[in-house]
Amino acid sequence: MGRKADPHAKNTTVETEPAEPASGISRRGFVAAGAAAGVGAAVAGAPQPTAAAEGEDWDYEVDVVVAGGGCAGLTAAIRAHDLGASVLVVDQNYDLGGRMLHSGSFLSLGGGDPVQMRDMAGEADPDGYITVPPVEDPAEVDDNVELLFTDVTDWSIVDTKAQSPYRYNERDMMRSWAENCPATRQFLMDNYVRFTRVNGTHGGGGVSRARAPYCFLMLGDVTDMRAGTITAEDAGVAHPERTSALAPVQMQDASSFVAPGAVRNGVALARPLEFSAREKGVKFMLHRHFDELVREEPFAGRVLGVTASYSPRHDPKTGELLHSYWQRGNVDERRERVRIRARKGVIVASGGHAGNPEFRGMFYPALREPAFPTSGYALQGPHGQDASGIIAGMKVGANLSGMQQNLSYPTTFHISTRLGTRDAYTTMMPGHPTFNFRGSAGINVGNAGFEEFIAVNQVGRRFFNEVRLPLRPSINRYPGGEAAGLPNAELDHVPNDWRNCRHEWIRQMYDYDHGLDAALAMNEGSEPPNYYSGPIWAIFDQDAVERTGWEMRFPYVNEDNGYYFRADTIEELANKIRAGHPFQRVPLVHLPETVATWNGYVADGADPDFEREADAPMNPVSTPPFHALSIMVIWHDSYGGLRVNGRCQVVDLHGQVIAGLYAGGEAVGGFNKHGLGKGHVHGYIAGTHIAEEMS
Amino acid sequence: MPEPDGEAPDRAEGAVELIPDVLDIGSETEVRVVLTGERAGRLAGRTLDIVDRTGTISARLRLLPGDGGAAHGTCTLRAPKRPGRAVWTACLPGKEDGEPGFDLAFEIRPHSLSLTVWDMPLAVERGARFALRVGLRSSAGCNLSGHRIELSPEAGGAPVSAEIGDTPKTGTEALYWTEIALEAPDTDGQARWNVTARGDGLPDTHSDARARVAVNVVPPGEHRLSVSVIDAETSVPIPGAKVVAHPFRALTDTSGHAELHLPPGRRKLFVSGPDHIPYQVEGDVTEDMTITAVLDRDRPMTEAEIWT
Repeated sequence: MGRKADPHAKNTTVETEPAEPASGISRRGFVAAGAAAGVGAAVAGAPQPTAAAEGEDWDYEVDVVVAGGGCAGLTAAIRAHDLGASVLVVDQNYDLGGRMLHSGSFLSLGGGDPVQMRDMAGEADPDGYITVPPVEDPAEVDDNVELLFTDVTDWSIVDTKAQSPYRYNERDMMRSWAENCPATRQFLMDNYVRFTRVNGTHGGGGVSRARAPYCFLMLGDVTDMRAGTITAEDAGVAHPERTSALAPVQMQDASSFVAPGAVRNGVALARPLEFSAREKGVKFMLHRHFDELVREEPFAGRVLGVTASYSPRHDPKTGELLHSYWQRGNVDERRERVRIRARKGVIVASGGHAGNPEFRGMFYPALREPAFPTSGYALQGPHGQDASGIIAGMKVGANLSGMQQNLSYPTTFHISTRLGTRDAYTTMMPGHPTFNFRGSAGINVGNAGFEEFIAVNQVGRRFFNEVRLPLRPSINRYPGGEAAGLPNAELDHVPNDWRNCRHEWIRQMYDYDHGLDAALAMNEGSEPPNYYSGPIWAIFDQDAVERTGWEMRFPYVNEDNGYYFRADTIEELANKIRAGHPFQRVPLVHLPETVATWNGYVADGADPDFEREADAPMNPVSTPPFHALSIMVIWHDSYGGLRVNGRCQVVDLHGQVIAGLYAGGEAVGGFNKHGLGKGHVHGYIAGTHIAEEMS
Repeated sequence: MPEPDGEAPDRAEGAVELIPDVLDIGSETEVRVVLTGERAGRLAGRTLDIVDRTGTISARLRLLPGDGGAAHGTCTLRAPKRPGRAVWTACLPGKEDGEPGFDLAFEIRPHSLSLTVWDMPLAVERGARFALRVGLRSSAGCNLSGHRIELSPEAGGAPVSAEIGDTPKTGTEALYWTEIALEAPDTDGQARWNVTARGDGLPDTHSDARARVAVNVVPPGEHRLSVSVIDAETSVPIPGAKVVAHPFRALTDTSGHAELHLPPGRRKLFVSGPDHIPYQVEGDVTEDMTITAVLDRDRPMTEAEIWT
């Protein structure tokens, strides 16, 4: 299949059978045109060239173009294809799955979806893999669409940061989302996705019922998406420090939600969906960045297609072009720019804006700082979550929605407890082709680990009580209770009840530390016009290493990638950071003085600057060698985006539908729901309705 | 930012940044060169000769494309043995393509010394003897064995000196060190020493180094505080946990036990880690006491777990 053999993995993956797609779609449905015909025609299943359509100079022609192959895009593509449309997915990355692939696969839907019904009845899955009893009582999964819709538009809920995640959601979209949750769950199951027992609910998915299972595969002798099995090597569980080309993040044990031998994470969701899409005949143009929408008039008429540019990803060490894990359905197009006609329409599913510092600076100017990436940047590459879909929509007159909702979910920006890597969100190990883009896996020190060091800014000054830096506000979700910012728990929760937000209650449950904001503050090294806060560093000594057992070695840290430094003296450590970190713009001139002052505070037993002594013991930074690990502020996901109606059609600034333009997932705003459930249902809705469009 | 000698700066050409731009005399230093502007665009991906004033090639610099049109690379240069200014020229081999060279200009300075003090106890009983370790490093990594370090009590009294050992501390490249024994004063409170290492007498010119250390002088510990540390979920003893009642501290042994000998008085006790959320309790120490600290585990979860 063109994939390089991994010497550490057994060749036991069952590939898609090279049979004709079962959908009955004709080859005329997918047409390559113009000078690139030779390239397109060389791909199995790709059609022959044709003339340009309707006077436009199109390079390709298809019923539906889907921009982005993540949770919304893959779902939309399969759904539209199932309903008879020819579909081409363009994705800027070398492989499919987007962030779904490195997710935890916690897929919160509900409304009486088939998995809730299964667990309520105490039944197993169709394969009979699940042998454990339901985690939740039947009443906790006894759900319906009305209750789900009520939950996700609840005006009364306030989180522990005093933000309101549900009241600002777009009501028309939420109604449609709730109505389509059960069908989407069944659709995913029909495309090889297997769900564990329901266990709680994802943030933003409501607080009245349990609605979220994980996705799982069973460890076995072969990797077979149809059968739902995966080898230990492919799952990344055969060796603690190695994963595979199939699984960027090592899969986790799911035995308590399924049975012994079950493993879970986004691999068990993204790969089955991708397999199904390829098997059915969906086409993919990878290494291809969606740039612009082509509309009849700049702000009027139908959307006719897209332009997309070549965005090749090469191994940073070998320079070789990366290849997707599976190849079937790929269109190998390497021209700099192509125009693709979409006869029925375009679905924008290219993700949010978390990886675009300029865009996210609209919400928090401090996060224009480019040192801080979005999560999974190594996997996604430099164009991941770059707001391209939202910007393209804005250029043809689309309205936006939920622009304030970035502030209502604690994953949006936070400080990671994984230190020593820029890609601090994921646990990717060597063995995946994109590991070299991060260079180190990092060390997850947990919240407790923050008492072992001092944290300094780009000029070497402390800026906050270290042990409070990684603390995060909690999330309003089932099973509720005070930890989730709610006065009642489980089935005692009352939606739309004023008591959920009475000010006495808010005062009692408010729980937010502002260390993140101190980390992003201007400092004497910040310079106009951007006043970047600069990188931040954990500084500690060899005693801390020996106390904690942190493994200061590859693959956890890498002395060559700019995110870990070790030195004989503090002065030398400061010099190494300055010379070796790509975003360290100024010297850490104050670091020696800061460490000396800190050691004096330790001797005194008091930290007059940040009152560390109130929360945890203080340790000197004195025993050489000295160490520095990067601390990352991560902007994980984003919530402001294109405004869509209940059919996932993009709406313009006059409230009118832009014909031929749909959107889903993080490209859409007005839905303050974290995770996958938003994208999959959007994809299902958009795929359904775009297929109904007249060509 | 150094500019080519005798030429007006050309803004379009961009800037040359050197990290570091100060070199120790006679030392070998890895230098990071960052170019911006049009020059960066022309030279990204090329390898340059770094030529000294005699025309000898000192190093080669491979420039890689960076963010925002910049180009960067590293090369290792040996500084001259006299302080002042040193300039190299970076140019394409054979000055091909007519591309003009550009200068890399550095300040050359004497070596500096750096002092590090560790294993200093936070609490010492009145009049007790204790030991600490002192390390000395030259910014150029010079061999400092045999050099002397002096500690002078801030409150007055005779200084103590010791000779640096022959080998660098384990895990360091060139931190030469020694152990020094001191005696605590007879008065409670914080006692301080000034630590000095002079640059005189070393083969290359070195600047002096100074540091300051403190110890808390305490009355004898009359009461024994016995602490057992267990995991809240499993009740399994936790070895290696920190037991701290400032300035007294200990680590739990393999059976999760630690003892502190405390003078009477009010104390805040912390018990923490590894991988557990700190436990704290405050009270008056008036007699021997036994405490069981039950710690909640702070499992290092993946981000996916945290948010799901």
